[in-house]
Amino acid sequence: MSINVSLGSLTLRNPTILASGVLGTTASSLIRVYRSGAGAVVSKSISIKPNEGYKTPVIVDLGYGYINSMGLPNPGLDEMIAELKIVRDKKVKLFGSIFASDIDEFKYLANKLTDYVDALELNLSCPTKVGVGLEIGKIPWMVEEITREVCKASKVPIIVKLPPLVTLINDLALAAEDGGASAVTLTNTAKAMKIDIFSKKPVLQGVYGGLSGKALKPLSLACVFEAYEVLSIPIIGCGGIYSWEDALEYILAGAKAIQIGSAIATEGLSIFKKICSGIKKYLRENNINRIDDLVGLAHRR
Amino acid sequence: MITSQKPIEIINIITHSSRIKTFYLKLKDKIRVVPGQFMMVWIPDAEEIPISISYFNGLTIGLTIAAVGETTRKIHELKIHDYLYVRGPYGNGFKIPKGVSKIWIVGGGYGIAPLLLLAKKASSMNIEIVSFLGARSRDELLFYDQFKLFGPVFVSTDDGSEGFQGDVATLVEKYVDSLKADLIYACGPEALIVKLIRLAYNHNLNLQASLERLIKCGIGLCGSCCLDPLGLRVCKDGPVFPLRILIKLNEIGSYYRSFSGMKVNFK
Repeated sequence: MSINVSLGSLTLRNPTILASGVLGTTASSLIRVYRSGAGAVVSKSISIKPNEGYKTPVIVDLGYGYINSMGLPNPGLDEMIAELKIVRDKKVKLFGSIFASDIDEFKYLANKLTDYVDALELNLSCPTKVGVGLEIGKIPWMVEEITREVCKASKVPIIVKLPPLVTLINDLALAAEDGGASAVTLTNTAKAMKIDIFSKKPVLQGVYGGLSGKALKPLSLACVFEAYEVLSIPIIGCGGIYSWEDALEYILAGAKAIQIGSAIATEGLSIFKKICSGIKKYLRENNINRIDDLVGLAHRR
Repeated sequence: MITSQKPIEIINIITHSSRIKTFYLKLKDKIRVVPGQFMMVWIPDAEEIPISISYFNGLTIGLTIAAVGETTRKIHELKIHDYLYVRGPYGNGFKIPKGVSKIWIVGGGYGIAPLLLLAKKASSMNIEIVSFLGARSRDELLFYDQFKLFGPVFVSTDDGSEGFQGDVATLVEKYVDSLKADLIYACGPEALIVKLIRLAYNHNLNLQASLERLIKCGIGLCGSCCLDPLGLRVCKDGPVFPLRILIKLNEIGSYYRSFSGMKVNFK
């Protein structure tokens, strides 16, 4: 049974995608994840210049989720292009994630990367880095303008990754659609923090981090559900997906594909195959021919 | 397993040299430790770093720490009854396959630390142990007396102040034809590991070696410790790898990746 999905002009062999920020810096790691069963992989967010990110500790394991404050480390555009070329040579479906502090930088990155990726994902929602993430991604007109300009600078589809701001999500998602996005990824991590009560200080060196994993799922799921009511472009669900049941919830809420990140820490790289076989089994047992027939079904009243 | 940064009281400190100390921590809950695994160690206002475990008895763990940077120097200022924050243990440690009866242990510098825990375990399984320990000088030679309890110990120092003058890989090579072992276990500087991979491959010997790369998250998510060309993570798939994997890792001895992920060549 085929579980391939299409996101506008993109076709993926299955709906599972490696989320940006996880195992996405080196070519060998991206290739390994694709070979372990992902339908596509997203690179770590790329900036023009190399960025070291925050010092450790960069992650807190809460038990019910993680708070990470990596701070968008990446070796910069030139070095990343060298890695992405290797990935593409292996016929891997590859999305390049980019972040920048102004429209010109976004355009520059999109223009330089467009030949090396199948799609670009705009990271407009990193909660930890001042001036490049959430500050942009919470303002609809900025989302629209950046999306529009990046679309002009790129030959490949543009996916916009948004923050889990449930009350604002429709405005933000519509702004991305109006700007010309081919899809939206809902959602990035939620701004969060952890304080050490002994030293009376924040644990993360970046003070704030992004909440991911199980704790994020209900928030992101609500964003997908909300946005599905107003959007025409496809939604990629992301946030706390650990099983095929989690993936199915997102699909029923309106997602055509899903991204996986945090779950890799405990479930391993076999999670992509496990989710795919779980979905296949579900489709078979319920006599459903394709995933598309399930997308958004939870909206029926 | 301790999953998040937790302050644990230091109950003893042993000073090995001006640069190296072992901190003993009393845990509240029992954990399981395989020799070669590591803990993420942190104190507020410093960085969180991976440290291999050199001692373990169920509720007490020993972490041997060399003062080589800002964070480790701050840790060295701690006293008994102060606290170290730890999480872990993480990673895959040394494996002792069934049927192994004689092993070599090869350690260089503070890479000797996790091998002490391995020697203790192997000895309890009645496995014959021959150890090769290398250090800059006699003062920096770690756990010499402890390793002697487990079997013959051959020593090398860079300055010749104890044992053979030169590096420990050369010392191993001198004995490779006369001593037979089922398996070599190694931890130490990358140059040592590279020589041992070559030696093991050329002499048809089996090897498990612990590798070092920049570890940030420690749980296999961030990708800072990924190895080319297989994309294996030192923190999750390693830090100990078997020879059949080691020979494929073409970045070993050639380059590592910096905080940004940029390749940096070994000198």
